[in-house]
Amino acid sequence: MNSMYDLIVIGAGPGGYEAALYGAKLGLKTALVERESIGGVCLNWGCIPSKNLIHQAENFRSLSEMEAMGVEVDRSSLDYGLVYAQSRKVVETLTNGVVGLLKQAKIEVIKGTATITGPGEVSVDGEKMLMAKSILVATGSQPLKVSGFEFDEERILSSTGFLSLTELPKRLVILGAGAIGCEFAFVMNSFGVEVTLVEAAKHILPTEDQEIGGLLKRRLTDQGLTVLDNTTAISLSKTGVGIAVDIRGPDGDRTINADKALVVFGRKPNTEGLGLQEMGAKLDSKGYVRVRDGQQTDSAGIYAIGDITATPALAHVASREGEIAIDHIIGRCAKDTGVNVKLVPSAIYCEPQVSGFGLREQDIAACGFKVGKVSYPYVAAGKSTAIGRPEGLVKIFIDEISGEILGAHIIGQNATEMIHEILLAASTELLLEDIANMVHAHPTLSEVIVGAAKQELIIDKLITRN
Amino acid sequence: MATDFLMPKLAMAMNEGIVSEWLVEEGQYVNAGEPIASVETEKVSYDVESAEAGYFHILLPIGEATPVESVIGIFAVSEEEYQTIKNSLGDASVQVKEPDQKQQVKDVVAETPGKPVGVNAISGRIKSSPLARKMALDNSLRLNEIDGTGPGGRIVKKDILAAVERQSQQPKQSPVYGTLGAVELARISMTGARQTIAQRMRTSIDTAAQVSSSWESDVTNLLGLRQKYVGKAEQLGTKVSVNAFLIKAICYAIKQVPVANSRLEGNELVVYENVNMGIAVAIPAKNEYDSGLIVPVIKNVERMGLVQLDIEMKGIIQRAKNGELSVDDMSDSTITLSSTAGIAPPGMKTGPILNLGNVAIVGPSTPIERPIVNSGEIVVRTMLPMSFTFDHCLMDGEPAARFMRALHDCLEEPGLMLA
Repeated sequence: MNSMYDLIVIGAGPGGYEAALYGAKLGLKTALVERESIGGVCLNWGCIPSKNLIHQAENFRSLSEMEAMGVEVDRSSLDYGLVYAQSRKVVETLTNGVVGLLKQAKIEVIKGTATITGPGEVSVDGEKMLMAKSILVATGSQPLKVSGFEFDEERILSSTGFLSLTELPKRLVILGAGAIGCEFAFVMNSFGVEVTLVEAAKHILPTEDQEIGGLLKRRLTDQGLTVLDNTTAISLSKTGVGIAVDIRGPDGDRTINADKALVVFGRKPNTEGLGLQEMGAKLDSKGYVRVRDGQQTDSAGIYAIGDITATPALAHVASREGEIAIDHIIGRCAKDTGVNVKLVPSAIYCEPQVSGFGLREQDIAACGFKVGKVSYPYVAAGKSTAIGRPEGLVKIFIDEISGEILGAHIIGQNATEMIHEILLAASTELLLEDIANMVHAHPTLSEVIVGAAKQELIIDKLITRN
Repeated sequence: MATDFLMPKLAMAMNEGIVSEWLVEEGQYVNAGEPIASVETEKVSYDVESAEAGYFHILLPIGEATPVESVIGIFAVSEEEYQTIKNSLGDASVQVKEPDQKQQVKDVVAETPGKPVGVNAISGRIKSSPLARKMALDNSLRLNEIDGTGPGGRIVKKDILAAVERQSQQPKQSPVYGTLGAVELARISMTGARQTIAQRMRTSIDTAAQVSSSWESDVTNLLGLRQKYVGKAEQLGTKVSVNAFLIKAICYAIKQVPVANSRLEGNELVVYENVNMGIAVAIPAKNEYDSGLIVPVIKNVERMGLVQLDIEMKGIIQRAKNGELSVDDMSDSTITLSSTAGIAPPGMKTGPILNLGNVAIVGPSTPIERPIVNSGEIVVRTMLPMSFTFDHCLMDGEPAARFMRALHDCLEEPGLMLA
C-alpha cells in the first residue's frame, strides 16, 4: 500500500517529533517513523530520565541540610529501585504527552525501521511503502563503541545501561568526563557510590571552558569523587565479580578495580541502513551527514538534522534545526539557514551546574583580536550564601573594541537557567552595559551576572579617567 | 479605486526628484489642492499640491531620489482601502531615510558621545541593536543610511560590517572628524542642491582654463549718479541698485568685446547678440549650516533701461529665494555677474569660478574709500574692487584685457552706459 505525504520524518526524538509537529502546524501532511520509542534517546534514555535521577540525587544530598535542622535521617533504607522507577514514570508521563501532541496534530506515527529507497520513497521494515515530497532524517546517535570497551550492560555499561540500573554498585569507574560522565558521577556519588571519573583530556568537560572544567573538578573532588583528568584508559577487563581498568596518567600506570564501569566516550551518528548515501547524500570525514543551507543534504528533497549532522549533539540544536529544515521545505524565507553554534548553550546538570556558550578561555590565543574578560563570583551575591550555594562563577568574554559578547560560562547553582540572560544579550547584540543598567531583583543569583557586567563598566571608567 | 501619486516633472530638464519633506502624515486624509510634498530637484525645491483627495499612503522615503513620473504615493478612497494598500505594499514611512534635518541635528547633538540612540524619525525610531549602534558610532556611520536585515528590520552587526565594507571601497569624499574628538554640529548630505553645486563647480574648474584678474574702478561718479535715481525712487517705482548700473556697464563692455558674451555649445563657441545676464544669488539651504547658490538669468538686459532692469532683477532674485524659479528662469545665460558687495569686507578682491557654460564672469566686491592721485592732487575717491574670470580656452588675454578696460571705463564714466 502506498501512502502519499508532504513530509516523512525518520526518527521521533526531540529533533524529529518537534519538526513533525512544526510541519503539521504549517499544513504539511506528515508521517513520523520511529523504530523504538517516541521521544527518542533524549526522552527515554537520555536527558529526561537523567534529569530526574539528578533531581532525586540532589534531594538525597540535601538530607544533610535536614540533619542540620536536627531531623534524624536514616539513609540505610534507600531503595534505588524506587529511584529508578520514579525516573521511568517521568519518562512515561512525557512520552505520553508527546504521543498526545502528535495525535492532536494528526501526524501519522508509524512504528518500524525506515529506509529511503528512492526519491521521495521510504520503506518501513521492507513492507510498507511511504511516499513524500520531502524526507527529514533525524535518527540521532548511539553510544560510541570502542574496541576493548564493549558494553555488556551488566558490568560494562553504556549510558542506556546506566539509566536501567535498579541497584547501586558499590564502586563505579566512569570512563569519559563529558556532560554524561560528570552528571552520572554526581548522581552515583550522591547516593554513596564510590566513583572514579577518568578523562583523557587535560580537564574534565573538555568541550567547556577549561577554567570552568578545573573548577568543577575541584567541587566534585570536594564531594568525595576521585577525578583523574589527563588520564587514559588503556584496557578494561572483567574480573571475578567486577571490572578492572588499566589507566595511564601523570603518575604512571595503575589498575582500578570496581563493580561496574560506565563507558561514555562519546556518541556515534546513526547514519547506517537508512539509504542516505545510496541516494547521494554525503558524509563528512567524521561520519556526519553533510548539510548546507536549510539542512539540505546533497540529495535533493532529503534533509538531515540533529546528532547525525556535525553541529553539537544536543536536543535543543536538533529541535531548532528541525524548524529550519521545515522552513526551507515550505519555502519560507528563514533568517537562519543553520544553527549558529556560537550561540548554542551547553548545560551540565551536576551540582554545581555548568552552562556556557561561545568563546572559551582556551580559544582566546587563536582569536587574532583583543578579548576582554569579566568575571564575578557567586559569593558576592547575597542570595548564594542565603541558600547555602556560595560557590560559583560567571565569566563573560567580550570583544575589547566593539564590546560584543563573544561567550559566557557559568558554574554554580541554576547555571543552566541563568545562562539565557547572557545568551539573549549576545544573540540580540546587547552590550554588557545593557545588562548592567537593567534593574535585577534582589536578592537573586542573577545579580552575579550584573556583577560581572558591571566589572566592564568599572574598567571602562578607569580607562576613560586616564 | 486608489489613485497613484507620481513624482512630478517640475521642469523640462528634470529627470529625477527627491521628496525633501512629506507635508502630510502617513494615512492622513488629503484634500485636493492641499500641499502634499516638498519636492527637490537638482535646481529647485517646490511644494507640490495634491491633485487628488484621499487617504494617503507614502511610498517614497524622504531623501531617496526617484525618476519623474514614478509612483511615490497612493490615494485610497476609503480607510479600508488604505489599510489594504498599506498592508500589501509596505510602509516607507516606517523606515524614513532622512528625517527632518533640523530634528536630526538636534538628535545627534543631544546624544552624549558613546551612547547613541536610534535616530528619531518622523514615525518612530530606527531599530538597531546596541552593538550595531556602538559600531556605527565607532565607524562614524549614520544609522539612517543603513538598511537593517535583523529581526523586524533591525540594524545588526552584519549590516554595520557591510556598511563599513562599502565605505572602505568608496574614495573618501571628506575627512571624518568623528573619531578625533571633534563634536559634530550637523551633517550636510551631499545630495540635491549641494551635490549640484559641487558638481557644477568641479566641472567648471576641470573643463575651463580659468584666469582671474582684478582691479579697482573709481565709482564715485557712478554712485553719485545712482543717488540721483535713489532720490527719485518713488517716481521710478524702485530704488535702483548698484548692480543695475554694473549690468549696464557690462553691456557696454560686451559691445566692445562681444566674445565675452558667449556660451560653449559642443565644439563651438556661440557668441550672442543679446545679453542674458546670470546673477549668482545666495539662497537659504535646507540645513541652517549649509548655504545655497542659484543663478537666475535676466534675459535681454541690453534692451532694458536701468529702471526696468532693476525691477526685473529684484523680481527674479525674490523668486529664486522663494524657490519659485522655472527652468526657463535658469537657462541660457550668456555671461554671469557674481556680486559679494555689501557682504565682503571693503576692498576685498576675489576670483570667481565660471558659471558652467559661460566664458566670463564679473565679480564686483564691496567699495572702499581710498586716497587717489588725480591731476597731481590726492583726493578721496570711492573705489570698487572688480574681478573678471574668463576661460582662456575660448578667450585670450588681449580681448579679456580690452573687456576689463571697457568695463572700467564705463564704471568710471557712467555716461558711457548711454552709448
